[in-house]
Amino acid sequence: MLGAVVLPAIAGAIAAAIAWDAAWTAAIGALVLLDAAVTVALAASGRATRPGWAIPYIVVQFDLFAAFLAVIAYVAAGRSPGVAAGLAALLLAAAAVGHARRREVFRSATAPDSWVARAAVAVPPLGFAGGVTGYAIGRGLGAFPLSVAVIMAAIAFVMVLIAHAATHRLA
Amino acid sequence: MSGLSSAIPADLLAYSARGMDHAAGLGVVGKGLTATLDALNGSRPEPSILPRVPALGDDLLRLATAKVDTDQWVGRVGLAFQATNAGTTGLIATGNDTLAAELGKGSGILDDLRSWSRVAKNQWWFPTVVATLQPGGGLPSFLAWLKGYRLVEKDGYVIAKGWRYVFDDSSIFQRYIQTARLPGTRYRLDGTEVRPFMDFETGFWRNFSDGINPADARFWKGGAWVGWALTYGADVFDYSSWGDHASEGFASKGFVNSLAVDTGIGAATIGVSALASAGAAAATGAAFGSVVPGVGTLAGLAVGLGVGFFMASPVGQHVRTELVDGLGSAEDWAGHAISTGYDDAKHWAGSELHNAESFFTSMVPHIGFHL
Repeated sequence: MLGAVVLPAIAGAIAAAIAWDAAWTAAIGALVLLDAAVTVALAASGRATRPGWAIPYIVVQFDLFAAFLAVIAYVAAGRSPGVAAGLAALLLAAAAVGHARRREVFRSATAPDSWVARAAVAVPPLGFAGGVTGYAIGRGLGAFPLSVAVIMAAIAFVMVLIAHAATHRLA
Repeated sequence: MSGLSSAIPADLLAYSARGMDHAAGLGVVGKGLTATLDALNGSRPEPSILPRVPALGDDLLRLATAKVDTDQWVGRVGLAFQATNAGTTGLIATGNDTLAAELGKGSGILDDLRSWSRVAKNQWWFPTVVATLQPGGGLPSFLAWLKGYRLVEKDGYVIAKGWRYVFDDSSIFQRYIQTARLPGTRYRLDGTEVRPFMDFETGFWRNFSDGINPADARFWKGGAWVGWALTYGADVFDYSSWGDHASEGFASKGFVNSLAVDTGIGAATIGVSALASAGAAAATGAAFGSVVPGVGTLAGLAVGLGVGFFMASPVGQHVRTELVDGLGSAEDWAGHAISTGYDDAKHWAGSELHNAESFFTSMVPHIGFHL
């Protein structure tokens, strides 16, 4: 369970390298260090094995992972404020839907007959298709950043949506 | 356009390669300068004391871009000289018309290949895509999951639930999906069949082995060989007669160091992708009490793509060049240290031998006295 801490650490390191900016590096580094400290505290206190602590902890790991993927998408898309706002809205929407509809999303992981499963399933292929199309019609690095931005945003969305549905087990 | 032009192609190609490396370095400095000046201007200093600083970083980036164009052009001219006098080294004189014709024909394809060789290496998301689409991979697992196939942990066992009778339909689509299904219905949690999906450490080592171990069948099946072939292929192209480092050639230290650095970058990227993939799979398994297929694959894909994007960027290319150059310097230093150490040791041994000889020579009369 505590192995999930590698997700934000790895994505954070990549995002900081891609952003190549002192402010972003400091912000990402602070979040990763805080996360590592929480992980150590959970492990030392023995709370890591209790679902009441473990599940929110895992949700936070996926949230941070997705946030750092969104940073990569933001940089790849040209660091525009509009893109940043769009990505933030996308992740907030994923978290809100994943939490508010946690029963349905969770059931999608055990009985895939709900609309949520189909909606979640549609996102990565659409993102992937968009990315590959962008890459194919462009040349070299021109379309590559756009493809990266689309795919990263799609993966971040799915990660947050699925992770927040896990809170259903706390009910 | 009559007349003659002369040049040494190897020098032009070397100039072009170094120039592009320098341009990448300029790009890095330009980006850093832009970020720093943005922060400075954002702090709204008092204009009477510190006037607003112009966007010098952007100027530097524009200079780097223009420099890349020039350096590429110099490389193309070098290749054109080389092509008109195949097999000749040193100073080459060529008619301007011949040179212009050579520059015009086919240079677009070579330029494309050179651009691709720069971005194709260290792109470790290609193998993930292959591993996703292949039979038994992430996509058929996901489709099987949609059809209700589940691996649920219970009392030390993993139970395969739902959609068990996948062999009823013999369509290609069904056959594709059924490749993701385990043959049985109940497995021990620590068994080799399901442990990689539920246990972080086992999952990591399995994913890592899939990417770096040619003796593992999954290395070939999962498409890791695609990533290695692209990376090493791009290195071979770079040092061939058509690449950026044509002047150095395959016998150069640069070629060996490029292969070594790219091997290290490849292994490291596969390692972090495997960590992320195993971490995501184990975390969702713990949170849901069931394997959720696709989450681990997506996490690995995101990490591989992120590293690939970084390595294809000017900063990443500059870092890679620094690593290759640094490895060369380290080898020179080590070679010098070993050579110097050998000479010192030889000198020390010689002098000690001389001392010992003197000692024994001086002792001989005393020994004779005692005898």
